[in-house]
Amino acid sequence: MSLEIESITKRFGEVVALDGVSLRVEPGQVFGFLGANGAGKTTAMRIVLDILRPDTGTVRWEGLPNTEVPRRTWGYLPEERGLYARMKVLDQLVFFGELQGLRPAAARREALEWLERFRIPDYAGRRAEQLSKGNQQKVQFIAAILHDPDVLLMDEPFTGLDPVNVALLKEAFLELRQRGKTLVFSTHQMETVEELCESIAILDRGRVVVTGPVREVRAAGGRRMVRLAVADDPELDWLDSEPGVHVIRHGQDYTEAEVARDRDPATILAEALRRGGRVTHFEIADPSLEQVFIERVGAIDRSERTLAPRAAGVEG
Amino acid sequence: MSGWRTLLPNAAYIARREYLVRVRGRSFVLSTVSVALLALALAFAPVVIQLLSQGARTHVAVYARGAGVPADTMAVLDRSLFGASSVGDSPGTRRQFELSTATDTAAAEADVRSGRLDALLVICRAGADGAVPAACRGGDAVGGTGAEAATPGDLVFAYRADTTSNGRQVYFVLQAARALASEDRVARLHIDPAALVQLQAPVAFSFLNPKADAGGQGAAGSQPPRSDEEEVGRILGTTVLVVLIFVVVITYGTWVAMSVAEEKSSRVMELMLTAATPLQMLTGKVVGTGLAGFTQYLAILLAGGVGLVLQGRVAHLVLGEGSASSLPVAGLTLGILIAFGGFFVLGFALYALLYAAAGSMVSRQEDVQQASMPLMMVSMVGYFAATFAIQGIAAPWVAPLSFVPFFAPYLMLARLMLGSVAPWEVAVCLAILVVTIVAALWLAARIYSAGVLLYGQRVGLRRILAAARTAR
Repeated sequence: MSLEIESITKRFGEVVALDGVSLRVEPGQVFGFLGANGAGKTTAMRIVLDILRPDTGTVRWEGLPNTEVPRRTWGYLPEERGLYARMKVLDQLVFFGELQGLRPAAARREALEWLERFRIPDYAGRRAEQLSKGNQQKVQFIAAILHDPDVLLMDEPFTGLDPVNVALLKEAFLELRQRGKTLVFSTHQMETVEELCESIAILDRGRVVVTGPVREVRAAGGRRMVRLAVADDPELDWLDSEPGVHVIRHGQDYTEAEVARDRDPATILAEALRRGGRVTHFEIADPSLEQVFIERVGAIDRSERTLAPRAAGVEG
Repeated sequence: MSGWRTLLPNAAYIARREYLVRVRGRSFVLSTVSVALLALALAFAPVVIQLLSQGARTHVAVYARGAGVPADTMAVLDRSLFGASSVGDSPGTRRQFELSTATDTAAAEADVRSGRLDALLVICRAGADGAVPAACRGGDAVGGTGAEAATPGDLVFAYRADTTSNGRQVYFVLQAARALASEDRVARLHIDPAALVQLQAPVAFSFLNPKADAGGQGAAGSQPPRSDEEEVGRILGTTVLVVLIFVVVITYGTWVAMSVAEEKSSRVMELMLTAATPLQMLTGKVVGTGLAGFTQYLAILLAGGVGLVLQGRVAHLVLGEGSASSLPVAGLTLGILIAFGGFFVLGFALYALLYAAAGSMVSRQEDVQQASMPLMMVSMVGYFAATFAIQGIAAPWVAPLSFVPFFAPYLMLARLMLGSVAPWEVAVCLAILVVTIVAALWLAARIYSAGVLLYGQRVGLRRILAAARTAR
């Protein structure tokens, strides 16, 4: 009873947009889709929504092929934002609600409620072209969820929003999840993924590089990180020359280093104390998603450069 | 395709949105009002022109005091020039002429030269030898009779005027002069009035179409051949109907294409695609835009119609009696109007669907013209074929071409108006048209669902067709 994508392949002429992609999104989860531009995220979402048909492979939701799943199961926030420029905000929300099978009165009520929640109730009577980009984006988000879909697919939902609106949107995400909805979204913002997502998939050039619960993805590489800060020694020059330790980042807050498998991270703390420093921060952690991403996507970038030529006009 | 099953209600919602947005738009209101006003103005044009030309009367002085000229000449001339029996039929004659009696030819001629008088008509009687009195000599002959010598005893007319500026008026006066002369001849020859009636009695001439009677099915039946006037009226009527369809197809077809391209360029399309099928979108768009177009169309026709009805009354009020002018269009029977309605709607549907497909192939509204050019061409071919067919509806190429769905709205309509068409031909033609529309709907839906997702550079037809094959 989940969203299952099984070995989907999609070509656009010579370009392989998706190459045997398989994914599983558990219901009620928040699922993050990571990938560079052109990795195939948008194509995958369009195929799930049955806007595009795959060359091979199937998509199933609760066991049903997606071609037979009722349309109102899905809510979609496309990457390319667009509203009817000259139509009033409330009118178009009601219109989209009706298309999804809502009664006009219900669509109206829901739309006004969401506009209120997103702090733009005054814009209900304005034409879409009179709204700022961020506010248009919020209206579009409302259009995507107005009919209370079970699965919400969002392409870069946070792009172009200011911090206040990002917070409002995250709040809405969490509420939808509490209502038992399944949320899938793509993004470049790793912190957001780590904050919101239970599971992720990293896509690169049409292939799934890694997928699973965030914790497992981070631990899967077997790398361990040590984060260390010493009060009177901000540079920590000695750290990089320790055997089995490789400094990745010098920061104002702490210095981050990767520790080889055969070295016990605790010995690094001992070494710091031996040197007489006042340790203010010591942490053993899995690599961040960003590090996993750069490692995974970067590695494949080197070894399989010729896999799928990137072409203009086909955005993944 | 699952879309066939679930056309409603989404197609209706889309059509309603399309209609309301279009009809409430400022450009729609502006263009409708201005064209409606123009139609109203055109309907009133004849009255206005008559009103304006009313002031320009031709003042003619008549000298009828020569020897042998009947005393009642002025009265007869007045009657022939303005009465119903002669050229007086033409409206406004009385307003074009003003007659007065001249007593002195030399003085009157001087007045014509100085412009105080527009014309002088001198009436004399030729002598028994055919000699023309001096007052009527000089000038060029009009209508075959010489100015220097005339039929003995006949009336002779001499018209003095600056004919370069009053050319048309001469012919009215000439007609009146002929009537005057022939009345004079009838009197002089002592012709029995009863014999005269017999002489002018109409000839019996009947008409029967054996072909039509034998088959019993001919649309033309055994109606008498149409009069010249009727034929001209029908040609005019056909031209009007064909032009109306042409304008609708081009104008409102382009609206559909623009509306599709707008949705695509504003990227609303992506949201729409999750909520509705391409077939629902396509149908809704064509119906909604079509209804908006027909609304505008009706408003304009209504304004023109009201104008035509009113203009008769207004003409009566402003210009006085005898000013009624009828519409010179003939053949617009109820059957023809129903056929026109049918071809109008079906023709629009066929072209609009393809226009929608064309609109889905471009990413920007500016490219719509270019993408829809082939459709424009096809429509033009149909239109021109119809205008040629009007010249000779029996030409061998007309009938076969009138079954081609893209030309049928033009050519079949022309044939219905001008030629003879069997009912089965109309039925077959309509059936072909409907089947083609269904095929166009299917094709357009595929092109549409493939086209709307392709952005960026202008998309070639080959690429569209390739994408259409893999689209849902």
